[in-house]
Amino acid sequence: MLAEQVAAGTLPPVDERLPDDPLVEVPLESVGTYGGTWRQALRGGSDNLIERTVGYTRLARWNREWTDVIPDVAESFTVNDDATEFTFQLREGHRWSDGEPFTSADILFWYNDVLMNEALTPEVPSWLQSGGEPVVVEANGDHEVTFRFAEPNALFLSNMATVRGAAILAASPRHYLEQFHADHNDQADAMAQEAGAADWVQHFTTRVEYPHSRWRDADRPSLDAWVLTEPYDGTGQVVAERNPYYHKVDPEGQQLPYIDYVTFDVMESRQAIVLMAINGELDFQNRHIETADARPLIVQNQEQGNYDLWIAQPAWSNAMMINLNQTHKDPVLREIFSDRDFRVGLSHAINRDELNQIIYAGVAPPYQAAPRPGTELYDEEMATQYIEHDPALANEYLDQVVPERDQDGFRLRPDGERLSFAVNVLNSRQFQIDALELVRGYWADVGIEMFVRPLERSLSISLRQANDHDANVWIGGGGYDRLGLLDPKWYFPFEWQSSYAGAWGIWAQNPNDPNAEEPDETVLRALDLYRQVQATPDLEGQLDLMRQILEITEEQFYVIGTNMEPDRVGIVNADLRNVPDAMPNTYFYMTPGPAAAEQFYYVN
Amino acid sequence: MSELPVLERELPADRPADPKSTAVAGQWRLIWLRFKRHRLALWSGAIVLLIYFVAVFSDFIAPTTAGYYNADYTYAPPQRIRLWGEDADGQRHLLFVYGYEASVDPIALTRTYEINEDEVIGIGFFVRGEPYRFWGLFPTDIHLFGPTEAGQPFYLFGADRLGRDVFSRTVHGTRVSMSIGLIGVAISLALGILLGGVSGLAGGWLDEVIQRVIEFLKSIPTIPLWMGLAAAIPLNIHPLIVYFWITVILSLIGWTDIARIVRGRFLALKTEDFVTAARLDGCGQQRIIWRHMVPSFMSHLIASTTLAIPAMILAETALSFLGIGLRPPVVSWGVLLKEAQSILAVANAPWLFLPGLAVIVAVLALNFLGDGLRDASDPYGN
Amino acid sequence: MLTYILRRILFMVPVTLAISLVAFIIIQLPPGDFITALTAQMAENNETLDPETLAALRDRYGFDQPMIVQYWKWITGIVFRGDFGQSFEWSRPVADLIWDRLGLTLIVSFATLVFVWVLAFPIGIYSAVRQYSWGDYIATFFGFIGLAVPNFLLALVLMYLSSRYLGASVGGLFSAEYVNADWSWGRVVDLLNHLWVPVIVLGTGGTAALIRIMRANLLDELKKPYVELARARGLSETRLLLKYPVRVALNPFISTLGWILPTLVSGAVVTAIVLSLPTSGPLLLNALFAQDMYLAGGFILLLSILTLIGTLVSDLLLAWLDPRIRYE
Repeated sequence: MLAEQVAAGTLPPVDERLPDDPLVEVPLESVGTYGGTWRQALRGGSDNLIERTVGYTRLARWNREWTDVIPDVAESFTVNDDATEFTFQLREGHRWSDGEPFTSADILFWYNDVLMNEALTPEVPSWLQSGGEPVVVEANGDHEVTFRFAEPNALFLSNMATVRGAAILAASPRHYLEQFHADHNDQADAMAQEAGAADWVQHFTTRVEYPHSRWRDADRPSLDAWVLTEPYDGTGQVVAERNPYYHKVDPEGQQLPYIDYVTFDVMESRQAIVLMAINGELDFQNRHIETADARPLIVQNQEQGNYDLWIAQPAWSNAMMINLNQTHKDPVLREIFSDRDFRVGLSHAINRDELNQIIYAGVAPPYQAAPRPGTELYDEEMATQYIEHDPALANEYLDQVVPERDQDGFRLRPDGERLSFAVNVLNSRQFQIDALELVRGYWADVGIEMFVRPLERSLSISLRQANDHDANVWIGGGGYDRLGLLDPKWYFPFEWQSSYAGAWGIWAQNPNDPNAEEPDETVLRALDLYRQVQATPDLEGQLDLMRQILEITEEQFYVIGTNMEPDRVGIVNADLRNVPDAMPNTYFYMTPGPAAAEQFYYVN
Repeated sequence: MSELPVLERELPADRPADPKSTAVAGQWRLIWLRFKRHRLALWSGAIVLLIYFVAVFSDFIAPTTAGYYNADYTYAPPQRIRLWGEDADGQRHLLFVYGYEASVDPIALTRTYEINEDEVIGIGFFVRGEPYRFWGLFPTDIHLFGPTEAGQPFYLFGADRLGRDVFSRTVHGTRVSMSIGLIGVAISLALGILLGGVSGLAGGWLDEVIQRVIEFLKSIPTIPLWMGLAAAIPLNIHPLIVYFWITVILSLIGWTDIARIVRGRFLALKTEDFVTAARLDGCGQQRIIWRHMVPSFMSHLIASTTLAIPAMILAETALSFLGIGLRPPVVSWGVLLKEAQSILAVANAPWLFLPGLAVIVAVLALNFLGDGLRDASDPYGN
Repeated sequence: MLTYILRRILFMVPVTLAISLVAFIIIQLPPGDFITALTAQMAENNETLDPETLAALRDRYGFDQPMIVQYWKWITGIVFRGDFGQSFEWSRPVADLIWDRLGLTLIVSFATLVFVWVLAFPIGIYSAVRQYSWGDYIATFFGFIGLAVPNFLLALVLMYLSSRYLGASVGGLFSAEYVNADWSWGRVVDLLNHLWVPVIVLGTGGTAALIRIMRANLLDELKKPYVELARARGLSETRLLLKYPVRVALNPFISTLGWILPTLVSGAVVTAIVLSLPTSGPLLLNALFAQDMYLAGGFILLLSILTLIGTLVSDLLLAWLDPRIRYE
């Protein structure tokens, strides 16, 4: 495809397009050949699949195994001993997708004109801060940049490899973005208004910002393997074609990517995407088709759809965690929920084996909210405590907290009213609604009245953010080591999403929030330990501290887990090569980004 | 008024009053006589009555409770009822079904079912099964029919993803779906008659205001209105009260049509000869309205009402589809159909669509009934 | 006549303003704002956004202001500058977004309308003339089945069947090769190949309703003495039928015109979602769920005004067609 353009004289030859020292990507199985289209499907107007596939390019990224961070756009990087200074070597001769050179000046544009511009970035994101100070970025010549923090920021590279890191390169193409920036163009405001935007800030940010909006603009040059030709603007199929200036080659020196085009059909319903998958209209995808109700179809139609399966390994520990709000606004419920015996009793009342059989077709063994087996942080006792279905034992525990019952057999609160609470669940998660309906039965058997309350997601979130929920269920728990480090919200009250202790979580994030409440000693100790994690440069040290946090979690038993989140399946066109058989499946890994789609290729 | 020539009509000659004669029969009797001629409507009426009968006694008629599940029979296909069989104990049954032989696919995570002809499951009447409270009051475990031995698989409409009996759930859904229609229409009717009547009778600025309100309500797209109102439903209420709220929401939008009809009728009737005659006879305003005007379009109104019920039932299914409908464990036809809204159901478990059959039958019957009533509503014509 | 039209148009102004206010309130009724919805959407997939980013967004969009201020900004923008604001989710002007989708929406709506009329008109006449015949029963029966089947089920089943057994692409209105193409003969044919599914799904309900209305009205007319008079004069049955009764019975078709456009746009939402149609329905619904308030508000306002205009037009048409209707 590109050879023709070179022959026609519209594109320089490949030697001039590649950086002087391109990154050699070792293919998973074999060196490939060019051509083909990678077909995928998006759902609705704000899907981040493009970000995960086309857009997985950073200064540094996850390796395929999700054990380390490796250079990507940067040729190499170095970290000083106390994790305060990160230096990235850029590649000489590296160019944007429109052929303009990419240098440290581009990174500085992002730093000075975007991150440090108060109109564009009113508040610097926390991963780019340390000790309350924003990062300082300096260039040493054209091909070296240094990120300097006031205090150790040990998780900086890990954060860079997640969704966050893309923000830097997206806002770096100075030669393109300057025209929209008021500091560089007097007419920026007028230009914005002509385009229908309120002011230049809006006009500018919508081009570079996550989520979604950076894919609304097909003109922005990028360093990705493919560049958009048809934007994600709601008018039709999204199309990207290979970036002629991409910085990677295979061991034989062929420029990557192998695949010419990537297309995204924009669908409105999950069911339509499932149907596309089983008809063989998708080439490599797991998003939207991995739900339990699609699995039989996906598995049964392999032959007809000409695809194989791969395993999307869940990074989450638990398929459904029940979070009783231990900082409830009602003091009576708060006291009951805060009583560990109460939660232990409820845990023993749940028949997890039956849940496994009915809801998860037998592939989700009983499990608490704890790291998954096979990880460094795995702790069998934590994973299996109070897990047996034992109504008698459950009653014993519950009798210590709420012994009185009314004539219907339901337990009474200390104030004489029937103990009754609602568990919020997203109305889109049918399997959790089903599971909760069963839990409602198990709990009724031990005298606890519970209502299942399916809610629209915005409503559910507003309630949690205002600490206005009795209880809720969620998928979650940092099942993988890296995930536990980056996203510990299910292990101790860390943010508002830690809904088992909403007010404390809100406090940890913002003590000035009207719904915030200062947590107890134990939580403060966990928070302090986590601050030490952030300041500990080596992974071993981080994991050691994390283990101490998990001891607290195990002891406190904040969350009632039910079953282990089961494996999901994704599909891959039978003719597509270099695709792993399994990969972690989470937003923090940006599945399938690190699988390096640029080295996928088609046979035939 | 029509300005076309009117033919003189032959008036019946003086005859002794024969109670069976149409000439002296009252209005309602005439309607009934005409209605009887509409066979389809008659049958539909019977079906509607039957459906409401099921709605009233659904706890008892369903072979099991709405929530009863069984992990061994997820997505089991429907069983066929057969005649005369002998079960393992050598007992003979008039009606029976065969059991299942299941095998599990470990990758697709599905069960495949074969008919097991060795397992004969007898069907009995007034059998003991899952315990429940009849009308929420009387604890019992007697069901109209079901497997003679409690706990045996009995899935006339097949089973859903949790191994629940689709037939039982359809029967249970009848109560909610049919009463949503009825209560919703009742509220619409009350509002519609009141406001439409005021509008038509009073006229003037009151009429103008009510007309604008109707125009206004009708011009707001229904889905945003539903979503806005659904968001206003309080959270800390019992699922059954949610159901009541949804009924109110649906009828808040439904009353406008009825109000238009009522207003139109009042406007037309104001100048009719028989109203003038009544007025000349010295009847009071109230008497004229209730004794003369309302009866003359009551039948038409009843017809409109029967036609509005199916619209309510369908609206409830749409609400459920949007995820702003009823909450479990309340079961309605809309809830059941929403659960069937997946490619998996179309491809592998089409019996999940059977509750749709209930919707179709109910909607058809109510429509034919309404049609018949409307045809009969003007008993003096022809 | 002229004063009547003027009066109606004059009344539309306060109604429209009231609608705009209510539309704004309705879309604000669900708790939270666009940022909440965005957070929620991401949290649903266990994804998160930095709180700093969220705060910046909320600040930029002015969500912290009181509702009446936000409403004032919005409505004055529309009235004085024709500016419907910018969609938060799409980062594009609302007017552009709606405009993009309007063309295909109108095509689908119009095709459905034609389908409904072509089917309902003759069947309705037949049913009335041959009342209680087998044909009448069968026609009414199938009409009602169409009415009784929930659209989302019919849409799903048709989509499944057409893609599995007829080789059509899943959902949408075009095949992959024509989605982003310019209009050409091939694209028109491709559109027609996809159009029949939504048209059938959307048309079934309306057809039944119109058949029933046509039949009922025609029956009323046929009983009128003038028909007998005409028959007595020896007019042929066809002429007799078409001359007056059908003309009068047509009234409801005309009066539905007013409602039909908005209901096809918004009533088709559920179907359009299932079939992933690139029409305005899914855009509206997503805007509502995402609390993308300017987009949702602009939509509701537009649909409402369409309805008001449609009602006026159909009332005028009705008066023109049937002189017996007076302008009160």
